[in-house]
Amino acid sequence: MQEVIANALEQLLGAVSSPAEIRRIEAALACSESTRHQPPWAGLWKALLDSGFVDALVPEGTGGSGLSGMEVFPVALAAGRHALPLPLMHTMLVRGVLNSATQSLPEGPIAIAGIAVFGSDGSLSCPSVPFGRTADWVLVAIDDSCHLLPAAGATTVISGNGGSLDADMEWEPAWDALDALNLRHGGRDPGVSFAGGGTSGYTTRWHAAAACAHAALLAGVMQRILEMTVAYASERSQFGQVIGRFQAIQQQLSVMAEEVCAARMAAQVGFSHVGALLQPASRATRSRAMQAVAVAKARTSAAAPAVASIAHAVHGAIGFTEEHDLQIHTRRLHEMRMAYGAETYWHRKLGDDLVREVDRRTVDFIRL
Amino acid sequence: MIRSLSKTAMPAEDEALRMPVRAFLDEALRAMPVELRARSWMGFDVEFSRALAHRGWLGLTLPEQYGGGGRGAFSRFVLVEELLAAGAPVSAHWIADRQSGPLILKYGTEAQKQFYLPLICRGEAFFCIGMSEPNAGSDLASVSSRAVRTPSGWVLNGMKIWTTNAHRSHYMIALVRTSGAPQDRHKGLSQVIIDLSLPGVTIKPITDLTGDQHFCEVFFDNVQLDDAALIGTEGAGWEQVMAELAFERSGPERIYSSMVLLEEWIVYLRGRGRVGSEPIKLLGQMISHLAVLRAMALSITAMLQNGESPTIEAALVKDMGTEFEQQLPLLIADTLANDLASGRAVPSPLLKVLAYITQIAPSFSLRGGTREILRGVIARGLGLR
Repeated sequence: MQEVIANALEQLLGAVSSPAEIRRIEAALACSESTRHQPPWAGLWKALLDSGFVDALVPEGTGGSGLSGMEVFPVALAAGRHALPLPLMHTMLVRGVLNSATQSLPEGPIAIAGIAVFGSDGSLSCPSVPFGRTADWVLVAIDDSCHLLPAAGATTVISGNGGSLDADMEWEPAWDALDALNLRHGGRDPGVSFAGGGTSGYTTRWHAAAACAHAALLAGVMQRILEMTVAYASERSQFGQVIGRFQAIQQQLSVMAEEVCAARMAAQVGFSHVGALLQPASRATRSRAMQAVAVAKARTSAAAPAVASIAHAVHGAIGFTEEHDLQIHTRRLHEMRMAYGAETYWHRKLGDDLVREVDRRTVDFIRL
Repeated sequence: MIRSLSKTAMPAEDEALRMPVRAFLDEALRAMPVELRARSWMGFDVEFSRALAHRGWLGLTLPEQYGGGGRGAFSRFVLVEELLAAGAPVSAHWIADRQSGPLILKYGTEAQKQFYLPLICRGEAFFCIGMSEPNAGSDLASVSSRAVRTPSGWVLNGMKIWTTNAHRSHYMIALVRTSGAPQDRHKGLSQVIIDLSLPGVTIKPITDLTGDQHFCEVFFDNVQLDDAALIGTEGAGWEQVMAELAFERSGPERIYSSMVLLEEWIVYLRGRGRVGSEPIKLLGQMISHLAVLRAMALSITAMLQNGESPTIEAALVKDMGTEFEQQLPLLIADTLANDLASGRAVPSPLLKVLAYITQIAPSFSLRGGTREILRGVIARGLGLR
């Protein structure tokens, strides 16, 4: 099943999420603030909608494919490899949890806010929302409820540099009137009072789920960067031979391959547990899922610096240009590392847990 | 290209081995000081090896007809994981169990299998690896120990070095030249099983910088080997050695050499009450690396179980694993130095274990293929060589 999905998405993204298309979208976003009515990414999103991937996690009874976290892992990986400039995986997660018989979500791309900050006047701001600039909606989890707010209703300011798709977004005090979720439930999603699960840590769990999605995007984009770098080293000649023949280059690329391999496994560790974060689950199962996500996001983030620096070192000056496609991927790599916590944030979570679980053997703790 | 590793779940029937093994080890190692457990797979204890054999835990993957457990690679993974996590003294039988037995099973005649495998499974035959020579370390193909044909078998001259446990083993499986000349390199090499009690064999242990003796020099002076000493095919020694190295590189042991130190440090942290953010972060960092390494090692085991030959992938995991094993004592040293300089009491056993692991750590990335060689293997997998 995984391979079928992987191949289908590879073909689709290869065609529609090309570097040329990414550049076109970034350029269009850069030159115009009022792109909301005719977003440059509209065609790309429609292609994804038509493919059916967007509802892969939605239960079959509600019109989706009912796939599990691990089954959609190739989707996230492919989205990362192609530097897809849309929050596909995050949209899939939100729709997978919130789409139900009584509540049909709007069709547009959904970003997940990492942090929500209230102003003294009651305004709501979310700094550095990943894909904030290519989302129609933003899922904001606050305490024990979540809200789906329209991007069009926010003041959006690009939070990164250049072609960054991340944005600081702020909604004025009457923001809850814009919430697309069924307001008869007071802004709570219908599934919030899970049997035995309670509502505690809800914000934390959405944050973790988004981090898990990003871990797979990181693994995917690093895979692509490795491919580009090996290809370059196999083509570029200096001193009478391709530079990939020099041991110094070979040893660095081996280190890069190791990090990419570890990142890919780390992301799988996260995805094999992600279901327990947003579906009914026991406290113990959920705790393990949080630890798995911590490993996933920490380890993929930790791989990013070496992968980026070796890629740019091997590519030399040409890889530093805007014209070369490497920068599309390494820019995303650094931004994704920073989103939803990098190494320190998740290392602290793991260290805290292991010290606190006094009877837990390390060999058991690491068996995720 | 390098194959992608898929996250693998441990099959339930293999996982079921864990608790009985753990219960046995908790009891058997109860009185063993942590400084000795820190020796991990370099701790030599014949009685312990026999006790494992008695429970059917030696030769777990060898066929039952030869006295083995008849189980698969996943079961062995669980067993090895528990042994190493506890710092069990497995050194005596380790090489035989990990690679010599599987090699004999793969390449041996029926007579050889029937002779050696039951002895290995009973913990009565210990093996060492005859590969490196003074002038043939990473460049293994340049071995010059030579076995010349005689009417009754072979006569062997030469020497091996860095042979772990030769002074405490019964047999050595050695890579030697049986035809041609050194410049033929990979061609003309064979593997022979040498009874180390034969006349002409002289063994000199080498003291390492920790004061222990594992490595040895082994000299062969006209050692008379019979026909049956040849294992596998004459001239196929290089391919056989490559297969043997795949066994050596594929287990979870290349990530767990420093486990006893890690556990001891965690016990210390738990006993402290309030732990600062720096050690907490450091612990989390180690855990995130180790959890992923373990998942990668298990995935390699799945490939082996499937009959695949993950040579490059095993080299990759071994290199990452040994790097982690070496980093661990360096990082713990820094945080404990901080504690000591800040006036905190640090238990002496923890410091002793740290000192030992710190000293032995360079050997982790020298055994079974150096870091630079393994990275060359990976580079070949990337199509660069």
